[in-house]
Amino acid sequence: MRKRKSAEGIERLTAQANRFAEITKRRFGFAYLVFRLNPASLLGLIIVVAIFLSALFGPLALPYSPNKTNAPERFEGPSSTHFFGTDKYGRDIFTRVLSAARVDLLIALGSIGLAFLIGTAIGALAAYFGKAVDAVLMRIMDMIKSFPQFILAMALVAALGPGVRNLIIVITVIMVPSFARMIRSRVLSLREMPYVDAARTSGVPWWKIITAYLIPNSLGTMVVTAALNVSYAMLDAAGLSYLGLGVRPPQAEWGTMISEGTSQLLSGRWWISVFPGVALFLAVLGFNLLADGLRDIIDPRMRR
Amino acid sequence: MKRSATVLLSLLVGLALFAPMALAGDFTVAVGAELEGWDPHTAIFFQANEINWNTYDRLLTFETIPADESPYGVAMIDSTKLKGMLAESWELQEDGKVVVFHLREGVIFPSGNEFTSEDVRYSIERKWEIPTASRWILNVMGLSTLDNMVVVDDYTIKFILDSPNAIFLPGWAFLSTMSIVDAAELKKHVTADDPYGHDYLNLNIAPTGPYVLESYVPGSEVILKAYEGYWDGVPKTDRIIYKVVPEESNRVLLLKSGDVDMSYFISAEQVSSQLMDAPGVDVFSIPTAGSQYFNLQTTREPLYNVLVRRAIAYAVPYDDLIENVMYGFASRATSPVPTLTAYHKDVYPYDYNPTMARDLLAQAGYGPGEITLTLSYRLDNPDEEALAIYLKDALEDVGINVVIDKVASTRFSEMRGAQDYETSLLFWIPYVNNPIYQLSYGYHSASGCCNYGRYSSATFDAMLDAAKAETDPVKQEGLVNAMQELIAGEVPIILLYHPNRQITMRDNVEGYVYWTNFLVRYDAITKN
Amino acid sequence: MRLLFFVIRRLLQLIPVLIGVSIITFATARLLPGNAAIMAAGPLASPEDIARLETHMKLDRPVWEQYFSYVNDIFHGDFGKSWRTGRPVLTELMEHFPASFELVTFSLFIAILIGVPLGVVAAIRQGSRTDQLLRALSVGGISIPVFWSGLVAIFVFYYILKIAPAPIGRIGFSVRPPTHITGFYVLDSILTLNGQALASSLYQMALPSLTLIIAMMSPIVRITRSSMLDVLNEDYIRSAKASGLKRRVVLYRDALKNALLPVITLIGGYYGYSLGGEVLVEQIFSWPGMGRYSVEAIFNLDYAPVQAFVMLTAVLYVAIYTIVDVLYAVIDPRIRY
Repeated sequence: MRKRKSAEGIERLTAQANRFAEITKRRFGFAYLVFRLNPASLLGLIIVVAIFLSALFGPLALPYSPNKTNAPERFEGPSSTHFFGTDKYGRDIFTRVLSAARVDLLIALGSIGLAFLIGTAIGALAAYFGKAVDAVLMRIMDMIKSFPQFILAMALVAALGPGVRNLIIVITVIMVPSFARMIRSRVLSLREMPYVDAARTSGVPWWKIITAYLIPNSLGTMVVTAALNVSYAMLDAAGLSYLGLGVRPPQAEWGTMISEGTSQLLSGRWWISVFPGVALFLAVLGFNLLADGLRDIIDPRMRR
Repeated sequence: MKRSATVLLSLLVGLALFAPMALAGDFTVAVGAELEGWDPHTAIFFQANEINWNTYDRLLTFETIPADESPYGVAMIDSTKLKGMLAESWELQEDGKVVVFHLREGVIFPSGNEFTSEDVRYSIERKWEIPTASRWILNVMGLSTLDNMVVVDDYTIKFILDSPNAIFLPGWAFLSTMSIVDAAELKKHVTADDPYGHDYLNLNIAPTGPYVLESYVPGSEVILKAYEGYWDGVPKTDRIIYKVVPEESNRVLLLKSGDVDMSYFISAEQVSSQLMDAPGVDVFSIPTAGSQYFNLQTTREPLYNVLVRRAIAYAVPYDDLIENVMYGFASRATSPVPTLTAYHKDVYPYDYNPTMARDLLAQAGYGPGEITLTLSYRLDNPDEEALAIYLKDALEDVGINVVIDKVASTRFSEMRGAQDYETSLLFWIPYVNNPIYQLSYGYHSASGCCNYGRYSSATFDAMLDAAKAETDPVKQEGLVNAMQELIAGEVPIILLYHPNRQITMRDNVEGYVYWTNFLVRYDAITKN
Repeated sequence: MRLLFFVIRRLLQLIPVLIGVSIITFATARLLPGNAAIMAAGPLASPEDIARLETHMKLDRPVWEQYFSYVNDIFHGDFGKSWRTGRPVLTELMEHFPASFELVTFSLFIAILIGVPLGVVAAIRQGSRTDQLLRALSVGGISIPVFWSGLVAIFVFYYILKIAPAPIGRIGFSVRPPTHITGFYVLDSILTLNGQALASSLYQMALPSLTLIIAMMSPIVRITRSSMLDVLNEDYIRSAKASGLKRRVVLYRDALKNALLPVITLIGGYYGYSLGGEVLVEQIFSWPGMGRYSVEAIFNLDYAPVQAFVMLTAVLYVAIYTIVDVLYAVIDPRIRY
């Protein structure tokens, strides 16, 4: 914005600002603006929606089964019959990539959802009651957080065994501390608000204060934390599966597919890991962009 | 200023000199996993055993069949002809119950110590006493107490067995765990906590063989250097460099480019697609006595029902599996006694017939989808994973659901021991090529080791006990045939195939001798 | 005085955390399926062999007694033995540590060197195309799964372009590692003036550190940028500008100093985390670091190394982030609640 500020320039800017102010007054105006002004966030939204849709409907629309072996057609490169080629068992990679989307989304959203609930509860309680409760709860969170996430995840999966359910449990455990911390700091600042004080002195029970006042006003922070962490959850799930600690075969999952394709990569059969990798990248990218967009909406500073 | 100039200069010089220099007498091998844990009497892992195979000698070895006389294009051992190693000769007394070894005189170990019977005695005593060593092998070989090992003099040692034992002598030749260590050298490193130097020997070598440990980088490489004073002559390869390369495709690439001379453990698929036609690379595909089985846990429903087991036997697409999983590098298994073993008879009547499978299931009272089985297998074996996936498809085709269960290999052994699985994949190589031994360990109800399906049949047990005691070979063969037929009918395990072993090396390698335990001895190997 | 109390309180709070860490570590390793004695005894063991081993490994004692003996051993520096190799776990971990440390430190150093200035530039030029490009790249960077970018890098640079070395570890195939002084190949090569080893180890480290740098740089750029933005918008910066000081001086002195605090926290945390070894990168590039060691241990259900590894990395991480917290409190008086 280092252009010379001519008179017309200022007029144009003022007109634009007025228009924006108008839009902001509408209900989702600000959100709309953010997405419009920031094409990256819009892109993120589009990608996420696309992934959801293809995960839900994709495998139904395709003629191939994701898990059925088909040895005569193995190791075929991308073609018009197999868009992404076939893997070492002859399975269509395009179908598997879409099928894997379901699993990865399920794991990521499932674990974030659970971590969201549990972490919010812990953080809110810790912040509201403070002192001993806070110290105990936060130290427990510290204990979990003190383990390098991925290593702890590996050890837990090795202990509990593979499978989607255990993956969700493990990833939930490692994600809870960051939710707890975020909510706690938010509630700490909300706690001093006059209306909370008023509610307390007029005898409203603590659980009602938390659920009626504190949590709804922290929703923004929670949503942003969730969106940011979805991408980590997805990467963790894929990383664990890459090592062989994830879902059970023959379940399609992006990390597993990348892993299976690794040994083929140096034989020149690049399509087996590249396509699932791109899919994973896009999914993570989409959620990250979306999260950024959401944060811009929630973050009051932007409203200046 | 001067310091950094020196650094820069040496960097430049280094870059200039930086061309991979393989010393002429070096032989490089790419292996897939860490090489540590060297105490030969406790070592479990293949790579550690290989280090021991080259740095320790045993009492006996086998004669070699030269490459041009061997059916597979590569020299191999003749497991029927024993040859002396540290033992110069041996004799059997009292109808085979007593074995006397006459040890080779004048053998000097790299430490300077001379080989005597004390080295043998100490080695066996260690194997008996160390907690993580297994006495079981010694028991199997016929030694029931340490007192049955008698030192006669410095060069003569005697073993008293409970009864004549077909495995005793070959065991000394075949098993890395029967290595002889340099007792005098090792005794310098024992402590009160570690009376047999086990901790020392895990990290060091007290060599008695053609190579000594030159250097090692944990998790990365081991370098062995030839011992010029080896009793059998100066080893032909001066240095062996083992490099740890965990990623299989990297091992393949290194072999193709000639950066290594040999690569171990390449899967059938990679051999087939990458190495068969690669210039400069030799591939030998050798049938083994190993068998790939599909084990059924017979003590529980629904597998308790023989009709269900037979149905499964008909549901398996045998030839397709050989083609799709092993890429042709395998042959059908037609008996619980492997094809290359004596008294083998083609008794397995089942072939791929899904209609028959469905009929049998219906007869047994199960409709489609009513049975769900768990299929367990070791997670570090990519061939078994492929097998599991194809089997799952085939079984689902006839209406049996399968849940795949990938298990850490150590946990897997444990599960088997505890009968804690429903169906599993098993790859088994018998230690000794003897049908009675194999049938006994695989199917006798009292078998401690390998009767993983807990198969129990009084008829079978009776036949086996009779066969063990039988001295007339014709009658023995009859009994063994009958046992094979019984197993085939009862089908407690599904016999899949006998995988070949693929040996991959550069084509200028000479002197390689194939051992059925897959270990490689480098003192006779050279490069052209 | 308040600072002292804060530090003491913080350190005291560490004790229950460390105890908790040791319990979690112990429990996780015990949860690993499989009887350690059976596995150590190997496939050939008889029931008697196993029983003997169980007594030897103290597995027949009650759990709490095993826990206390575990803690006691740790205080004596005994982290148990890996049953796979029979060697003391601490020795093995220390052997693998330099590989991880060297790779991570090298990569993080370069990532900071490039990432921080980029973040500052993006903040100064907020809203411009440079800023948008940098933001896009950094979001892209944190979205790439590191185990995939490593593979693609190998495929492109080694297989197709043939300019990168084979991913076989820390030093080239026929090159002997430099004389061991610290265990860090680059440093040791320099110290012993070993040009060949230096060249080779740098060459081998190129691709894995490239993968790591891309992954590390992105969050650094983002945090630097957003933290810098926060500070630039602070009133005191605005007033500094208004009072006519030269723009650059204003920026580099006050803004950067304060902006760097959260960056330091992030980097400290990240460093602590990575010292445990970047598991996935090490796996792909055959890098013999602690990450790979722990994967091998976990797959073989070798509970002693798993226990020790998890414990040590947790302690390292806690130590680093406690130091960072204390530093933060020293620098910023508002924090010492």
